[in-house]
Amino acid sequence: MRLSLFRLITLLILGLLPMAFVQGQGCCSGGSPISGNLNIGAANSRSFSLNLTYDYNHLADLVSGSKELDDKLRRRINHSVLLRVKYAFSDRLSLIALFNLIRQEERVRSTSPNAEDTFRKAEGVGDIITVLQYQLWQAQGHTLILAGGLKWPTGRTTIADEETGIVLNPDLQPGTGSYDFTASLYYGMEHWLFNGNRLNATFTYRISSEAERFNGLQTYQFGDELFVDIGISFPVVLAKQLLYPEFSFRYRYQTEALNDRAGAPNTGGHWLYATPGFRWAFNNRWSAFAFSEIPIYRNLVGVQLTTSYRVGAGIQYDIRFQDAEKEAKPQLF
Amino acid sequence: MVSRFILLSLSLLLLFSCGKEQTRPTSPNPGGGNPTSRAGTKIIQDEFEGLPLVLVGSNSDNFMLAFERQLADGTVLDFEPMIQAYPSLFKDNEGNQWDIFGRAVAGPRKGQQLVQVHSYIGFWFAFGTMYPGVELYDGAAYSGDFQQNGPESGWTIPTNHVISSLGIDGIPAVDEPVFEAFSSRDAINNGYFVADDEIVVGIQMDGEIHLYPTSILNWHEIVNDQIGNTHFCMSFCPLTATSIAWDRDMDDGVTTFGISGLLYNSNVMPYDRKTNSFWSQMREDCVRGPLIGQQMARYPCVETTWSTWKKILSSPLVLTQDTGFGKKYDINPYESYINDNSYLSYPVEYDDPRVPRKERVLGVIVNGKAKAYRFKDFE
Repeated sequence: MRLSLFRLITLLILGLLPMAFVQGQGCCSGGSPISGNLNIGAANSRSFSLNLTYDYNHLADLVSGSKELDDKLRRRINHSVLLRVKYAFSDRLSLIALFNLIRQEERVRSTSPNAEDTFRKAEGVGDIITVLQYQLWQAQGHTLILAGGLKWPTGRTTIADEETGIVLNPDLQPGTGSYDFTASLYYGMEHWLFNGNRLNATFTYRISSEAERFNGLQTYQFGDELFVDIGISFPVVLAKQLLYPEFSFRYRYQTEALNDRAGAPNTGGHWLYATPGFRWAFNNRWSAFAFSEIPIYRNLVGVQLTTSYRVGAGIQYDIRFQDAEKEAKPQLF
Repeated sequence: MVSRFILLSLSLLLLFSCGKEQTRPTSPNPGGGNPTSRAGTKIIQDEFEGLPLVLVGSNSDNFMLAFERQLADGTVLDFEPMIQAYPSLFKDNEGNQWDIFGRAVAGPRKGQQLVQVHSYIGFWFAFGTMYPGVELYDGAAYSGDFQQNGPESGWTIPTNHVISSLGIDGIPAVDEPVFEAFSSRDAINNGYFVADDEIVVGIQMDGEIHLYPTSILNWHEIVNDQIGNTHFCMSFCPLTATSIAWDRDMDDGVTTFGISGLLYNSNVMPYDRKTNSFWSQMREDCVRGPLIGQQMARYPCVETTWSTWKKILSSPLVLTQDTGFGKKYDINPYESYINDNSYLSYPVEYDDPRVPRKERVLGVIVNGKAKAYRFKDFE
């Protein structure tokens, strides 16, 4: 596995500076929308959290550099249902596992009167991600957490077209076939600027490894990704219900992918999103949430089909085993 | 409070500074191409599979052509180049002058046509894999391990090198091409969308010539076109840089072709919309579907740079950007692919190391065998 200077610098920064975390699924990057669905954050000792999320990623923007082309013939829609399980062994140490089902669709609008629109899909279990998080520091409303994770290649990568029997292109497959490593640093600050709000910042770097494609005829390595997420959330009481609106900015940088260890054209770039969302805490155990992701800046290498918008919603159940009388505090996201 | 703002500033600084912008060198030739050395046309008289050939090429003007030396009446001509005599490129021992399409434009045989040998320009790797052991003019022979899997049921080719890259019509064909006569005066006044060093593919039928800039073909790969009563498909594969035209008339009417999204040996596989049969551009036959095994009825094409076309033709009909699609034709999505001489996007069966993979060569195909000529052969 290559360890470039960029990776080294990034990992060094990761170890020094409290920063952010993001979600983001690139265009045609294939696989699970893992980032942002891991929910790295403070947890009470012996608490258990179960989270079910539906994630909808609509990719219809064809972008060259920072210019969006007037071309909407091809559209990709990625549906994901994610089940996240989090267990805190102690106030400091937690384990997160993320399971998902993925359905990736591609529609091409034909402009010929002699041809029909085409539709292809692949669906199945995606790659499983496990993350171990360790709370480095918590004092006076400040929380600093370090996390490391591994993505396991459990998703299928060989789903074939029903008619031709030819294996569908890798970016349609539910799995990526590669082991990926993630390192994250989370920083949270209570009562930032005014009482009751929280500043969240997460900084994550994902290192991709090489995988085979086309029945072993070629190796492919998705580009490494850097995610930075900075946002604030604050409690609002509305109709006697506790809501936590959140607004954040999400930055994603992806390096060029490698095809047979050579740089693959039209891969990599910079994305900046606005990601408004909210959480509604019904009680101390149950909460519901919704999020969105709207691109506000993109500067991509070559020409790429990329996210037009992304939305998601889900529910979360939190329970604390240690003390039945002390129920788990709902986590902000 | 101050520490909070320092923290935010550091965060933003890092956010916008991390990761260098990935840039690649700009292609000196958006359509690909070999460097020029000196002006002039060179003639090679050669023989392949017992067929006497005349090859006409110019490294500086970026063209290579192959014609049969023997005429229909049995006469075998001897040729020599002409310098700076456009539209004439070469002349023969009878005093005839011939143009880029092999038409006699002066001399006793004026109006006659040389037979263009089945040939086209493309990247070397494409000929190396589609015609394993391809003969190389003035070069060493190569004998690799050319064991090939047998075809799967329903196919005429082994599918282990058939790759899915996109869905059907993921790259949209041009079905209603619009041509306009190039006017050098208008171009001087208003500029022109075709760059001088851009490769432009040309086809000639009954005196009418259509030119297809690769800046447009890169985005569509197929133009369903017509000259007179002849319906044909002009295809271009950016991954192999090959341009081939064939007839669209079928037993039960005229069809149009589209892009299937499949590649065989990194070469485009069009499909016909009447029968949904899949074709291989470089094999020039139907490899799957109701028309399996059927050969394409091919039409010869010529490709060279726009600057050379302008020297040869006074007001050619050029495919316009009015294709009905909102493409940015000034952007070449294959720019970095072309610039990297060794990079292949998809696996190929055979990788012949004698010539750099992305060097453009002329492949002459006779009796199912290929012989390649390089631009440097015409220096």
